[in-house]
Amino acid sequence: MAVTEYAEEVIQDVFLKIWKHIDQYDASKGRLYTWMINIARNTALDFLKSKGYQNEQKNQSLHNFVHKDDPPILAGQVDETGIKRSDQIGMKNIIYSMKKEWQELIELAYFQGYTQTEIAEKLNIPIGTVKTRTRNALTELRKLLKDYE
Amino acid sequence: MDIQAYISSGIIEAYVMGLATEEEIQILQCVQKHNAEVRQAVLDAQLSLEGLATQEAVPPPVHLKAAIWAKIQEEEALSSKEESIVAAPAVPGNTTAFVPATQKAIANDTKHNIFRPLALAASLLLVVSIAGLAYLVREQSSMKTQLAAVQQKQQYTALAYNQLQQKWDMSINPEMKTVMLKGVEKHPGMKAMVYVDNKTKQTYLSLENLPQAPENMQYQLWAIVDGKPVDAGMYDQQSGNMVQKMYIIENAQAFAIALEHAGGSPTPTMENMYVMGEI
Repeated sequence: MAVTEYAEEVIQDVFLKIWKHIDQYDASKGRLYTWMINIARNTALDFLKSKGYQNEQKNQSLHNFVHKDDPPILAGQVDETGIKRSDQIGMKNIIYSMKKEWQELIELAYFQGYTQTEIAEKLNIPIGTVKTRTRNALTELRKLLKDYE
Repeated sequence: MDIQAYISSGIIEAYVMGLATEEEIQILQCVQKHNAEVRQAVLDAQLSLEGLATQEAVPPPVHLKAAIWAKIQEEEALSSKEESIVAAPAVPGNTTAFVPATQKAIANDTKHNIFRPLALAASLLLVVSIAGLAYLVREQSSMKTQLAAVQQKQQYTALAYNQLQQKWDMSINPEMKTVMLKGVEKHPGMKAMVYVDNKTKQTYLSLENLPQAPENMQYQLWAIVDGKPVDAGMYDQQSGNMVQKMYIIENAQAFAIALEHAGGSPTPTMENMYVMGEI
């Protein structure tokens, strides 16, 4: 099954979830858009961890790339997802400009949905350190984003 | 509590990105209720996240919107069916009346009375969730890159095979005469092959092991006709073709290759001769 088909399925699930749980949205806790972004992320993570997808991954003969080695994308270029970048700096470049440790934490915590406990185990560092470092990484990321606004 | 320290601790960023623990969430929601500065900080963080999401967004395929509404209608149909069993009179039996009734129900039910702004936000989020899922796409395109590399390698191999095939065909073709050009004293061990079509006198050249010509220099094939050297063509070392078509030469007695200026010379530079061979 093509990855774009997976993506489309997940997107449909996201919207359905939003629809079904809209009465659980509490405006005093945050903005609607952010609430929806988080639903999208969680749905995507559930999908990536799902049995069905995990089995498909095992059946692939080509092993996953470590995308840390991808070259940065220049403005105006077409990146490897086929999207022409018209903005000056993409999020990917911003993340790549950060310390390796911080990149790794953002990758594990945000994009792969590992908990702090799991990250601590995986990287063999104390939970407290994971927490502080992740926080620092996020603050730095936010600062970098602001600089390019 | 030191509010400034709290705001710069990164907990707010973690919260809006969905990375805070239950406990941390409770604390933050309590603090922000009582502190305007924290409330503002949370709002700012959300706006940053939302701006980034919109920026990174990729336009989704057009058919998705319809597919999503279809799914929602299906969902609503299921749940309103359950409700109507408990409550009101039966829904009309025929299917054409069913669909509009459901849509109306969706529009009017109180749970979903933020229908319009949701529709707007929904289209925005559709765009946003693809950004989050760019992770998935990135994985696949990494695989695509690997695949492309393998395919390219295969193409090189196929090309090399074709080159050899060409040479072989020339060599074994009875209509073609093969002339081996051997290295002169200055360039021992050098070799080149000239193929001459017996009927058309069309010549072909393959440099076997001659080195890459320096910049602005090029190998030129000379044919000796009636004792005099005749220009038989230039060899292009950039082309990637091993066997190259030269000129048609009648009555060639011998061939030689000399290194000349790029583009060729009207007369051969004897000191730069590399190989020669007689027919």
